[in-house]
Amino acid sequence: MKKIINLTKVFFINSSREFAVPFWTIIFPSLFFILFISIFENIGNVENMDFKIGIYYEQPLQGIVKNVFDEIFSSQNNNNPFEIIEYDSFEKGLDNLKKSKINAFVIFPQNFNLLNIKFFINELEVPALKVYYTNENTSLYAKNIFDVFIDEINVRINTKGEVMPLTIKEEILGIEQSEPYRYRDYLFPAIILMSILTVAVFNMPFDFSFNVEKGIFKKLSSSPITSNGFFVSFLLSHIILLIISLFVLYIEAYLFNVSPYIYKLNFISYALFSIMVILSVGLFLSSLYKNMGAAGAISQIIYQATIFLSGFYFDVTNSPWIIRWYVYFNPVTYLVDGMRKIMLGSSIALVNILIPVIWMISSILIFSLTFKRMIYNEK
Amino acid sequence: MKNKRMFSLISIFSKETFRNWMEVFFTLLLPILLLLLFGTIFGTEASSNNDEYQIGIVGDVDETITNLIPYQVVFLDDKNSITKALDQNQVDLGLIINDENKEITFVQKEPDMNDQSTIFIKLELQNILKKHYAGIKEDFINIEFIETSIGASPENSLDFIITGVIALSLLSGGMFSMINVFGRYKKYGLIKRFLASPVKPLEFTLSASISKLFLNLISMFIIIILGGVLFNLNFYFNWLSLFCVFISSSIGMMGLGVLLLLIFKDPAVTSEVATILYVAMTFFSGVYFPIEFLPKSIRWISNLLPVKYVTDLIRFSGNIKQITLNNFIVINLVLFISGSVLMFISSKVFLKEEK
Repeated sequence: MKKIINLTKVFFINSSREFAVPFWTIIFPSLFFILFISIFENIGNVENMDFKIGIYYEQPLQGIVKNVFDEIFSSQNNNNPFEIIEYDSFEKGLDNLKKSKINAFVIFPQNFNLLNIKFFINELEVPALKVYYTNENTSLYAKNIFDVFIDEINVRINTKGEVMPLTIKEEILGIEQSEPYRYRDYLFPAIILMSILTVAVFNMPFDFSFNVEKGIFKKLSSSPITSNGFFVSFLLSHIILLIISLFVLYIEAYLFNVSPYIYKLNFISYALFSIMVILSVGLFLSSLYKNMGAAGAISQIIYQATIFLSGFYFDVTNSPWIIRWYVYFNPVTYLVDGMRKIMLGSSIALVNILIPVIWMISSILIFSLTFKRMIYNEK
Repeated sequence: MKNKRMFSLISIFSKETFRNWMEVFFTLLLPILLLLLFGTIFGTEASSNNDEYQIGIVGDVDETITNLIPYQVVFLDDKNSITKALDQNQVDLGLIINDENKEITFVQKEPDMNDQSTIFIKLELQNILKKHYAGIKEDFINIEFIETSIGASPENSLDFIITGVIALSLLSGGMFSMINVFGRYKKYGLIKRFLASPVKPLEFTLSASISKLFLNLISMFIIIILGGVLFNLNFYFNWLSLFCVFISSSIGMMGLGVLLLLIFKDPAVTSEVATILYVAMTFFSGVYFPIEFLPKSIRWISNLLPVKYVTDLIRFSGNIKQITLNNFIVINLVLFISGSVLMFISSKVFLKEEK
């Protein structure tokens, strides 16, 4: 027992000395979580947006219309999500749109001042505002936001500033919640699994192939340590690092006020189950690699494919068949789905257990068959 | 500088490069993988029309409301049927309308990263219903949207993503290649052995760079061909300016790789720092999502990273980004000169140290 503890300690200290190991396992998922929620929870948040809108008046605005738009476009207006740039020529504005200096270009056409009269004579035709945009993603967002913005103004003008009594609720797949479902709640299970994947796909196989390449197995076989003792220490050293990583992520989740479901027993149990499944797959991968070069490249492919094709950050069930097979093939899709179901307070499906279990059993079987052979070959 | 010796060295470096899994992965496979992943995921979204967006509605709905909604409307019986339809991808968004209480409930799958179109559609639907309940028959202010192409042909969102992937592949290829050459070769004592031969330091650096440029060139062409075949790119490259950008940005990034090696010394640490820098550059490049989505306080970082400028140059060569010719020349020159100077220094510093 003491031998195992000492060896675990040695393995843990050894891997922690490598800058890459604590960085990618602990620091990177934490930074990733902060960065992603600061990006994607800000969409639609007026305070964070500063899209640039170019404006050109074919004819100066007058009367009520002038007052309305002066107030709307005023930099003092807190509801205005745009920085307004006025142009004195149409060509210059359009050129600046094409040069991405502005994100959309709005033309107030000739006779737009007829709107002053339309407030009193409803039947009057007023020419439409022309909004030029490009297919660059920033421009598309600016265009969509401007559309919603003007729509809101239309409602206000019609109701003479009165707020419409319309109650708006949002539900996630039929589950009504008192708190809105936020991107941080959606992301947290993915970040946990990302951390586990780093250990399983990089740390474990790299250590294994390093041991094979450097003849560590051979050296250990001449010591009193058994192959099982070596295996247990190896696994424990990685689990300790993983627990530290999860601990840091939970502190972060607490600070960011992630859904309280993550502290419930069923979520923690399912997270532990996920660790068992993914680490088993990590052992299976370890048995495949013959050298560090192959381990590095193949692990990168598996890691990148898994994090993007398991529904971590976006829905991939609608993707083309050429990549969709991987979505259904890899166990992480079912694990992240299971965790999210628990976070939404619903029960997990059989598939969330069955497929990961099949992966776990198969991986352990393959690893146990090849582990001895790896040591034997090394001798 | 003997031509034959240079040719032999380039040939040796090229063979060695293709035998190194990690280098081939970062230069060839990773960009292809990212192209396939983001092309298929975001490409489907870019090509899909908003008119195809399906809304499942539950409630006693007036026909006037459905006429106002500019999307496909599917009538469903109850909340459970919305759940089922969402699960089976038959509808994109569920909407329960309670006419009496003037209450609407949006039902959807979990929000995800590329689900921003739903945010705007929900806001649009809210306004349509507000207008309906306020008895508004006609808008005071109408908008006519006019799509404008930046270049000669109308481009789509996917064109911007693919040109971004090319820029990122040039960055990773250039940066990691030099870390490998001066890091790995130095670690294995290869440079020392080369210098015992009649090979001059500059010949060594030049031949190593040319072999890496060759790998980068292959990577770029694979992405362009795959992008064209799989995703029907709408733009055409100006090959001359693309070639200039390829040379300047590859050499510039090789210089960055060398700079990192000069700072961090240890190749393993440098490689890790370069990987972190690469990940940071993907966030701050504006390739996958607008830089405007980043918190205001950290947006300035994108101006410091070369990825923003290389992406602009590639898009300019693809005629989907307009920058002035002066800017194009200045950015190319800055990348080329700084990269060349750093590589010249490296051939002196690293190869001298080895002696």
